[in-house]
Amino acid sequence: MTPLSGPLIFLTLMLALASAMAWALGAGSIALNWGEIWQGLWEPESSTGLLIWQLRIPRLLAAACCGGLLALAGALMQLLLRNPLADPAILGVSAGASFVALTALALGLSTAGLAYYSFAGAFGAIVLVLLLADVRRGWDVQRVLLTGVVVAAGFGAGISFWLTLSSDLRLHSMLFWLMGDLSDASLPVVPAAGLAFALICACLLAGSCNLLLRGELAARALGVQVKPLRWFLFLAACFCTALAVSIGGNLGFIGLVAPHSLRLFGVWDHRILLPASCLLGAVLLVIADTTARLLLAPVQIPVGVLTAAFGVPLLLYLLRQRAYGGGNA
Amino acid sequence: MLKLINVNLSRGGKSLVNNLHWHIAPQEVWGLLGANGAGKSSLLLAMAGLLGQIHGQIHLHGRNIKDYPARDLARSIAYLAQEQQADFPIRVRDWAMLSRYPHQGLWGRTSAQDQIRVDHVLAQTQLSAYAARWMSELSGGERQRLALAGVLIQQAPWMLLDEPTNHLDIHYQMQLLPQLIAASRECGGALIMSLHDVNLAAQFCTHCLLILGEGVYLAGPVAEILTAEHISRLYKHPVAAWQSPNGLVFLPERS
Repeated sequence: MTPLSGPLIFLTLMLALASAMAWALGAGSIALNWGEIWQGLWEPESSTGLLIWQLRIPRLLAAACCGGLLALAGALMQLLLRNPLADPAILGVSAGASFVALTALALGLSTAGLAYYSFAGAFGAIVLVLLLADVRRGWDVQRVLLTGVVVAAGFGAGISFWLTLSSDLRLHSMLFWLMGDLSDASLPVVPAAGLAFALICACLLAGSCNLLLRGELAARALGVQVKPLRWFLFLAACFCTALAVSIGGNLGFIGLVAPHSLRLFGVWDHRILLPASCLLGAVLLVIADTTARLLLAPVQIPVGVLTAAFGVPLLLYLLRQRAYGGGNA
Repeated sequence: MLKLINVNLSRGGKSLVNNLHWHIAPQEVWGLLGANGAGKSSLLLAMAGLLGQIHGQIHLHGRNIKDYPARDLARSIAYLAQEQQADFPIRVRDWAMLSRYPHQGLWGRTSAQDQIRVDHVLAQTQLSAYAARWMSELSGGERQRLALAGVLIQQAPWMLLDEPTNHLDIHYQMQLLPQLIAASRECGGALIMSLHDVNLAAQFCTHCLLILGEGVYLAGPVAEILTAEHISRLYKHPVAAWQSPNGLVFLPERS
């Protein structure tokens, strides 16, 4: 790749994010033009100002932050599991979060604490996977992966259990949460700080991450300390997933689509790929969430439905590309 | 000087080599021969410092390889695994550039020198035309050629190569092995490679180590070690030696 392409990618993605955010600010049941947005931004007490500052800005920042977290988690998880199809949910982290969140909903606990419950659930799932995969005996990627899949399936059963038992009223909020929904999102202060922290650490280690593309053995032979790096990848990916789930529930496909789209543009270098994935994830989720608000307004559909609707065809297209060994003819 | 002192290797309770004392001096080319599962790969891994626990000591220039920081060791010892992995889309030149990691800072900034080295080696190994291709588009043999180019790009004097001729046809075997040997000698190191082909060992190696099984080994100059008797014992199959115009040739008898 030419040295120019890194800055070019960032510039494009920054512009895309700014446009998506501007669109998200203006679009909605009350459409705002540029003048109104500008006015609202400077007069937080006016009705337009309240709409922008209390509703749209928290929600679009939540979407951007959640998208960034999921994309970063996806990129790290794929590298860790040496599996291009690994997504943030694959190790059961999201399922654990969902199970605990649904348990809280089913028990009638306040929805205000949902973010905390889901974060606790995600953390519990991580510990469970580590214990069951017996990582103290040695890190075996296949064992960790399969344990994660099995744990996720177990939590899936628990989730179905709560769904069957719950009243119609609760069922609705549960389903929204399971599909991924940002309508109740508040200003994502903690997740944003977490994202910044994880991204900075990831970027500092990105040079070593690149070596993992040649496999762990080759990376070690070239002087990479693979063991601590692997722990970082695992913990950072799980941490980001837990934060993302605590904002928006079970949002699929962002963690797959964002890193893969970039890889297919020839971005293999993690020093570019990791921050660029974050930006692209943010762009995609802001667009998807705004579309979800508009599409059937005033009915709001969970944004998870849209990420899946966009994600499935896009991913299928990406997988047919030459770089993945598809369409070689 | 690479020295193995009293090294014991075993796998699953079975002893592979016992009390191995092995000194490798600069300029030497060692062939590592043994039947399937004899422990050639394990021995190379141990010498590259990539095997977790080993009994015995391995010293490079009088210092235990365990005491080297990982990057320093990677600047001294290059290790080539039997199979190359590339699960993610990456282009050939970028993949090759990763071999410069031990010479770069932690963040992996490439210097002009890195660029020159990579382009020089790709040209030298006739891979320049592949530079912009995806790894997934390469055949097994092309991948192996690139992996050997990676060893040259790494520029470590001591080369430990696990079956470097894997997937290579004769032309590239004859082209690449001399290049690798010359490069290791130029840097003041030695080359140690595991081989399946006794004739390649006879042609390129100055010394051989035969892993005979049950912990027994034989090591020394090619002229002493590569005899029909030893080779027959090594593979538990009768082998005859012939003097050909290109050197000694070993032919297995049909069973």
